[in-house]
Amino acid sequence: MKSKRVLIVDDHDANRKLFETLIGHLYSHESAKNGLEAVELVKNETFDLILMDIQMPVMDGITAMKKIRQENPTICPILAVTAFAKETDRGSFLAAGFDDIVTKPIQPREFLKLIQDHLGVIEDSSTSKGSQETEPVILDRKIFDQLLKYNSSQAIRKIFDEFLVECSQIEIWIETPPSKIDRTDLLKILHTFKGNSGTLGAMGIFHSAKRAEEVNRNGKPAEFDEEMKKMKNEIRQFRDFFNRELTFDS
Amino acid sequence: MSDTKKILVGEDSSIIINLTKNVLAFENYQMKAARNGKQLLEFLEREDFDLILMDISMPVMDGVECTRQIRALEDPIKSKLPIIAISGNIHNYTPEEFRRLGFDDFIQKPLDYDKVLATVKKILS
Repeated sequence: MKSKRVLIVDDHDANRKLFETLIGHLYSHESAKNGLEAVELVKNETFDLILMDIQMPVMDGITAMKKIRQENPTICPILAVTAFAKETDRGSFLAAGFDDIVTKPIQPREFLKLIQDHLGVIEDSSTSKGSQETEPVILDRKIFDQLLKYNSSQAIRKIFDEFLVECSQIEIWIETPPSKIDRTDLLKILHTFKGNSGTLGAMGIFHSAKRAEEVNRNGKPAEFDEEMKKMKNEIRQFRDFFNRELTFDS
Repeated sequence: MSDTKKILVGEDSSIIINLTKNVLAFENYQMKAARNGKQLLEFLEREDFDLILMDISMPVMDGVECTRQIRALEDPIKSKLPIIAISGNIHNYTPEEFRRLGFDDFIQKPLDYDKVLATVKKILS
């Protein structure tokens, strides 16, 4: 599986060696000695995963990660490598934009598992794609009936109307050229949209939003754009279905 | 104090807020909604609640940080309020990780409202 490429960013020779040895058996890799070198490398080469030390000379890991993300909106997962192990630090690294945290000292087995998890999802989503797309349910009747149990049909109508407004907003995002979009904003909106559609039982839209989130996390810009186009279709189908099939007693 | 239990919800989606409000009203729970963690802390400072439902991904202050701050409050009752995470779980936290982050329970989004109600009832009974 040497087709996967990992970028190792660490200023300590010994740390880099360790990572190179651990990773080298399974994946091809490239190394950088500080954040600036990493930023430059990413400009010209493609990676499937980046391991980023936090404290480094010239340019630290957080700055480098942000710069890389800014310049490559759909970059692969970037993992922070750090000796800070407290949960609160973990939270702040995730909040800063890292996909995960590797804690020093490195536990080889756990470390490789983590790397695999982040690289592995890509294979899962491409191999299981066919089976995921065989479920053409526009609206899950069971979920809808459950909602009717707790909400008056009038209240449900209002909530679905609000969801349709949200659908229109997503359509505007999809039609906007990617260069004019703040990716962080889009992902936040998409995440909310995913939760809303799933909770309302709009499964076609939900699965599309879920896939878009996944391919984005795996740094696959082309697939993300493609999924967004599919989502537009799902939204259209849902709206047609809604206007045609759903009548609310009042 | 009346018998009506008060639930504070931290959630940025108005669709989820409205649905949850109706579902909780079904069992006569009162609900108040905050749009982010910061607002939730402000509500909690001014009023008493019996339980908190907390989304993880919220603007301004997310659910993890908000929960951390609640657990660090000096008020002995407020700092120990039951907090249930409601989340799409984008970070793939395990139940153990949710507990370590200070949550009492976790409900996966998309929400199954039978489960939401059952979980709330179990904790408040």
